[in-house]
Amino acid sequence: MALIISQVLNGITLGVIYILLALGLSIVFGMLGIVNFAHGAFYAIAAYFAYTFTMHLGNFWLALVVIPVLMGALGIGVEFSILRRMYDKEPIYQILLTFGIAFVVQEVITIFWDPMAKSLPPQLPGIIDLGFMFFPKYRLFLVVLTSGIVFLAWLFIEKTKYGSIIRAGTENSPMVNCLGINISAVFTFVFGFGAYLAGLAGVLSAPIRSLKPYMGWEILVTTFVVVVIGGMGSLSGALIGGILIGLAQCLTSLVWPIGTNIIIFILMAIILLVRPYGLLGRT
Amino acid sequence: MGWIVSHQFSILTIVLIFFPFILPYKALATNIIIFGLLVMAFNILLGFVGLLSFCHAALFGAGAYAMGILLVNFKVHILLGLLMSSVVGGLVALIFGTFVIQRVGIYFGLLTLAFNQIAYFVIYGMRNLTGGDSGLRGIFRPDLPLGFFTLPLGSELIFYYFVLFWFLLSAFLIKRMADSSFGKVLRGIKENEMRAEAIGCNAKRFKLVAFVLSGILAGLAGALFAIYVKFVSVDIVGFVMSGEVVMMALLGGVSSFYGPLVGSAIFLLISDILSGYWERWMLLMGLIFILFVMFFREGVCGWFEDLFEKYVGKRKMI
Repeated sequence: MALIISQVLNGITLGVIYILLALGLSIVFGMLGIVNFAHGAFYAIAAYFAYTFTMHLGNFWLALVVIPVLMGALGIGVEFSILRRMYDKEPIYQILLTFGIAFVVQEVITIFWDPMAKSLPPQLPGIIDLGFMFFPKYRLFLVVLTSGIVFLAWLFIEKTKYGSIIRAGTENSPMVNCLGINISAVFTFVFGFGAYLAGLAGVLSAPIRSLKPYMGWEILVTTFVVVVIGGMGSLSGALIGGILIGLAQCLTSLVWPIGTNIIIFILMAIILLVRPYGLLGRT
Repeated sequence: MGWIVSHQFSILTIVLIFFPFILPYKALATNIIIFGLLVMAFNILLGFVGLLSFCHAALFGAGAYAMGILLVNFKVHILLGLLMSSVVGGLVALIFGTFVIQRVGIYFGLLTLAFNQIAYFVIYGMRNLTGGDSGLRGIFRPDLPLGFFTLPLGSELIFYYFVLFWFLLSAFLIKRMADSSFGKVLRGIKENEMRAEAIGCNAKRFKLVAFVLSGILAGLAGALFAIYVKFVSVDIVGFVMSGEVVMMALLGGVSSFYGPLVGSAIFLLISDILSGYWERWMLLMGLIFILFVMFFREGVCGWFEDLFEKYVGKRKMI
């Protein structure tokens, strides 16, 4: 029983990282209609930046503040310089463009940091007594912080004026443009915000995962599964999908270790057959 | 200049017969036509039906592992091996296809990606049969007995012509398919799936047939690859490999019949030349790819065909 509870907690830790990534991917898809294959690359390079930053300046917490902002700026740069030229092209070419960007970023990682796996010294060492079990402090911090960020993102999107512009743009962006809102600036901002969230996820997972150049592709595929299960473009779908996948992976590892990587795709196939647009997606 | 169009297949054959002699080494030519076949199989979906598949590494890998396992464990006849590997490629495509063709657009792409990963982890996990992450070793390239004499496939040049035979046969089949009513229906589905359905064609069934056909040819390419390198690594099933197939198709031109072969040649030649100088040549490849996506979406062949049409005024060479 204790084993199951601890795996559930691990599942939630994993799940909140997926939520951060899925949220960014989903917002960008909902707004821009683009499946961003470079999302995992932003995550990976943020993790590597966090590694170098912490190793040289010795302060992980500063990295947690600075690097996601840097990734947001990178996202804005990418959208402004290349991605926006592709909006009038077929969706396949938009996918291929972000795919190419991801490819380049991954090679850049291998050039500047060698291909050997790296790991960051643990942050917030020590464990905390939850009454019924012990839990690593850092993981608890991760869950609390991410929940806070997700809550703030939800508040921003659902309750503020800017959020309503984004929601309206998701429904019908030419109409929003006609209402006198500079929609291309909103697009740029949204893409930057997505990259910011990916960067945040990258920095947060740096201390608990080993860094490999391919980590971006691995997480990208999982994030796709999360988003497809939850429903493309749905924020609450990202929440449910993230937790579901995190739990599924950790609980499967108890009974079927090799199946950890396979179970999520089986889940995805079943859900897509029963609900073609995901749990909370709309047609 | 009209004879170029009408005799294009003969010209292609002649060019490919002399192809190994203009390259730095003969095995490179073999590599190019094997991948040309794979990209051609991939392009049945993208070029005809407009479906972007990210699972062709898995179909290619299915053929390669089938061939390797059949040779290592059962020492089968090479032709039986090729046949069975193609069937395995087709079967895997049938399984994948049953699910993925239910969806269109980006969902199709994401589903194929998911199935590619399933295949990767299954192969990775079946250590006893596939060798897991250390790859499948001990594959050999059997000679081809032809009744009165035996073709020594150990010679790189003879092996090239052996692979060329399969490549031309597949290319011929695809070309016949393109000109047939089946090919026209596929293009109709690409242009407007709802209209195709409305005039009574079962679009999903046509897509599934195209998918299986693509899988059979990808499986054949994989089987040839297994006896070409005599080793199968789990990397060839990976997602990055699927991506490279997409890259090759786009470099050559997806709406052109010769695009896949040209794309494979460009990709492998550049990689062969650059990898000698710089280990991270893929960075340059990625940048070239981005430029193509932004400015040359028709690929090298599409660009060439436009020129041909402009100055010679004949119909496109599809």
